[in-house]
Amino acid sequence: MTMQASSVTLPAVTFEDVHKHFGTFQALDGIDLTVRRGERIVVFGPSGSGKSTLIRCINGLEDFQRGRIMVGDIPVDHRLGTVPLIRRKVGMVFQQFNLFPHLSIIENCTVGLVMTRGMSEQQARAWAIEFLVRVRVGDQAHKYPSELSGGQQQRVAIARALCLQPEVMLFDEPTSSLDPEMVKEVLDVMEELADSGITMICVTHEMGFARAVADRMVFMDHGRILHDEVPDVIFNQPRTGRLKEFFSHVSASA
Amino acid sequence: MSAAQPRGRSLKQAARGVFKGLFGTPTNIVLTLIIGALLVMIVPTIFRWTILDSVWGNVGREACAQASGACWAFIAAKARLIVFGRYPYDDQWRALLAMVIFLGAMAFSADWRRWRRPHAGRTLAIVWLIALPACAVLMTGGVFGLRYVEIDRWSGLPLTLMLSAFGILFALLFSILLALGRQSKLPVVRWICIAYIELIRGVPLISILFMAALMLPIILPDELVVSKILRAQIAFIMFFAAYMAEVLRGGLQAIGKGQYEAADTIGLTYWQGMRRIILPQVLRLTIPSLVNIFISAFKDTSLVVIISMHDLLGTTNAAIIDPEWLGIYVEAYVFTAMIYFLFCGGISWYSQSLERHLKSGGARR
Amino acid sequence: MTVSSETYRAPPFWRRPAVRGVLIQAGLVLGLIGATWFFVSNAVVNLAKNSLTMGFDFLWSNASFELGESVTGFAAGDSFLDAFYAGIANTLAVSIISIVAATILGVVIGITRLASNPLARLLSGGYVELVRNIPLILQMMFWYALITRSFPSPRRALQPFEGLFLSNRGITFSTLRLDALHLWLVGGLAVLLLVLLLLRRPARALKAQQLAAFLRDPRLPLAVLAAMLVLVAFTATLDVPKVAGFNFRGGASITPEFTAVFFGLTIYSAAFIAENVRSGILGVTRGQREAASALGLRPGPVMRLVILPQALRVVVPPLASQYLNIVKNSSLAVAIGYPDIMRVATIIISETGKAIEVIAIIMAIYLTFSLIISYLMNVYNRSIMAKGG
Repeated sequence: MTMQASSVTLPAVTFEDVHKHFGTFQALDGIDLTVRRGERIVVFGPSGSGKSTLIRCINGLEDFQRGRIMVGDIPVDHRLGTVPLIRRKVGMVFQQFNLFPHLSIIENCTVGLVMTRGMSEQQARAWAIEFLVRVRVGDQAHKYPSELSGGQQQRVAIARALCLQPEVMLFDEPTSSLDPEMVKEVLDVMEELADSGITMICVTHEMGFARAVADRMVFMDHGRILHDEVPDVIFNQPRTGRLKEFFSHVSASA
Repeated sequence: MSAAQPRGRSLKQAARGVFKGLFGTPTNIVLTLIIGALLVMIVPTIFRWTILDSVWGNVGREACAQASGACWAFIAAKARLIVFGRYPYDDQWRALLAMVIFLGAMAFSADWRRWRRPHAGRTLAIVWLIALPACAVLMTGGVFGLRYVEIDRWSGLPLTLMLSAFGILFALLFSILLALGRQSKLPVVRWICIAYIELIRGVPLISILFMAALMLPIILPDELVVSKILRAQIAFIMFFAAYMAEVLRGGLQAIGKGQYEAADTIGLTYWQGMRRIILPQVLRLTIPSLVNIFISAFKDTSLVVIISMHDLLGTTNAAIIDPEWLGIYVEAYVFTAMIYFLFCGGISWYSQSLERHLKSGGARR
Repeated sequence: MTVSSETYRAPPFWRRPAVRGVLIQAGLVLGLIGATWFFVSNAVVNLAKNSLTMGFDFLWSNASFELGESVTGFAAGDSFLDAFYAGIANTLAVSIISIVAATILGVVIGITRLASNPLARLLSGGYVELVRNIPLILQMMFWYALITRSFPSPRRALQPFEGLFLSNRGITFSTLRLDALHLWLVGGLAVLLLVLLLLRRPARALKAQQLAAFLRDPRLPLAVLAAMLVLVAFTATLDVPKVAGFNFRGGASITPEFTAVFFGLTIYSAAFIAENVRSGILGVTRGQREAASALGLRPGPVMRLVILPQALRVVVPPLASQYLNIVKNSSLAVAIGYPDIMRVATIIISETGKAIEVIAIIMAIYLTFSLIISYLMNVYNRSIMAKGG
């Protein structure tokens, strides 16, 4: 792991003692986490452990009750109204793709560029097509989401987020609702993206991807971070407690 | 599925199905005989009345005296009164032309093949920006040597079309605000919208029309009191917006949370997200229910006769009180009913084919 | 890597969601208050110009008009409040009768639309399409014109069967007349019958076996019913209408206005009820073909007994809103002069000039109808839920 520039640049994302509960259910229970610029983090853990909530708090899709989250030098604060500023810096890819079904593939990408970046329609199209080519759906640009396979749709979703040039990319189980044969094409795109140096926080159970790409792996359970280590340690050290239990489930189901 | 079978065989099967339906069971035989007898009694009577024994052409009252069938001569004599009402007789070509332009623009906009073409929005906007002022100039006059016709003389079909078209359009816009307000996180906004929607939906349209006709002149200063037609127009907009808002609310709830989140995530503001992402999907989803409201709106414009305005039904009533044609009214009501029937049927036929088209994904090419 | 050049500044306070929320809501409230103030002050000025005042005192002063017909027996000289009551009663009278008739007609047509007999399907489909696409008010006017213009005068009234006359004065028919004593007796028996029918279900839980068996014996209510019929048959006199001058005397009659409103509401609403029934049955049977075979009368009563009750559950909520529509649509009666609440309101406005007050009253009345129907609807839904349906 490199230590480049971490002393002179601000971290990309920091959590300080973040608590969140839905009613009586404690979703996040004292999260402390620092993600440096260019770092690639994989968050994993059993379902209901709070990993989705964790990344959804970063771009303000969820609010939290206590603690502090910073994206760069901007606090994520619903009361101060900073969420729109955060959303300019953070892109997100969802488990269910959430493409806009009434817009063509290219329009899915340009709508954000035109409305939030003030581009003209033509500029936006020229700009977006490059990203679609990069995720290898350039030839599908004029189709509609329902005409594409799940894997293609998820790659479009990645392009839609990327073309807005975020500083941080969030992935919320991007391969979980894909058929097995399509998982790889999405992971390939994500790996290429990882090489580009963008900050990535991925909630995923794809351990192969984690081993290949992650700088750090964060294991969560019951709203807490139980492990925050480099992949080598996670995969090779003797496992204890919840992590062991988790891996036995994963390997049993795989 | 039968669709997969060869055509000839399925046709034969269909014929067999029909036969079986008619005579397959004792109950069906009885039913067929009863309905058949009923039809044999009624259909020839209607046919004789409307066609065989009827009087056609603009031949005057006397020609009808001997005939036992329908007196279509009455329609021939009164058609212009029924269709254009109190609009000045010599200028009725203007109202006709305005209707043709208006319906033409409608038909132009209704063609969904046009919607996907580049600059479709701009083309439609230009069409309407030409059509609407043209209609207004034709109807009102006062320029280009056209005689000025005050708005209170607009009547008959042009009035019905105007009340329903503008009523539907502005009610839809208003209903979007109401539906969004009803979903708002701000309690005051939400409660005001709920109160408005429930209040309007709880009372009959006539009470709203009376409010516009009788109450507005009292609660507005004299200089703000607009013509009766415009007041009725406002009443329609207020009334139908509440019903459309309920339909849209259902649509808004049917759109998945993911769409809202995706719109938020790419940085769209609330209004941008609504305009570009959510509302287009909601409208597409709610077309069938919205069209049902459009049809009721079109039919219910006829309620303005109660506040003594002369829409299509009002002019029909005016036509049948002519003492010269005493006793003739069925023909007039049939004529007017057919006009309503054609328009309502046309709207629902169009919405069904549009729905099929959208379902088949045709709009996507 | 470098820190991005733009450094963070907290957004201005008016960008805060909470602040915006308060501002928007305060603006809305102020706007509403302002509009209300504007309307009221204009109303005061405009009313003063016509030397009118605001207030509801007029309700207790005497009305000088007559109503064409009144269930409550309203007559000139009664108060305006009584006139409102008369209007409400007339509205309810025509609405309730139309609701019953439209339900029967609508269910029959709705089932017929799914019949296996293509002729029946065609006929009922044609009915629905034709009736739905013609304005109700036009239909009412047509019926009214038909009765008043084309029906013969009482002297030459049509007599489909003995004691029933169709004329341009409406429908006139013979009635049974009972003297007061027997009327009370029959009424008492009717109450007894009702109580017995209501007791049948709870009687099952009774400890006393004999009493329970007695109460649940089907012969008991039949006997009471028979007693009623015998009583009526032997004590009632037939009041046959006779032509006297230009009208009938004796019997009872339904005015052309009532008849036209009733025909219009029933025929129009039945088309909508039929569509509700149809989609309810389709929803239960998941498809036209199954519905047709289910209702195709050959598989028979079992299917009908299974499907119709299920469909009923689906149909009840839209049916309730159709009933509410009937009550609201009965206000179209004003167009042909039936003295429903709306007609009474217009008469009172023209007599007193109290437009604001009267419109407020009729809106309140209709809202009450709506609330009652939606309350009943909620009760029904809860009882369905409780049954685990």
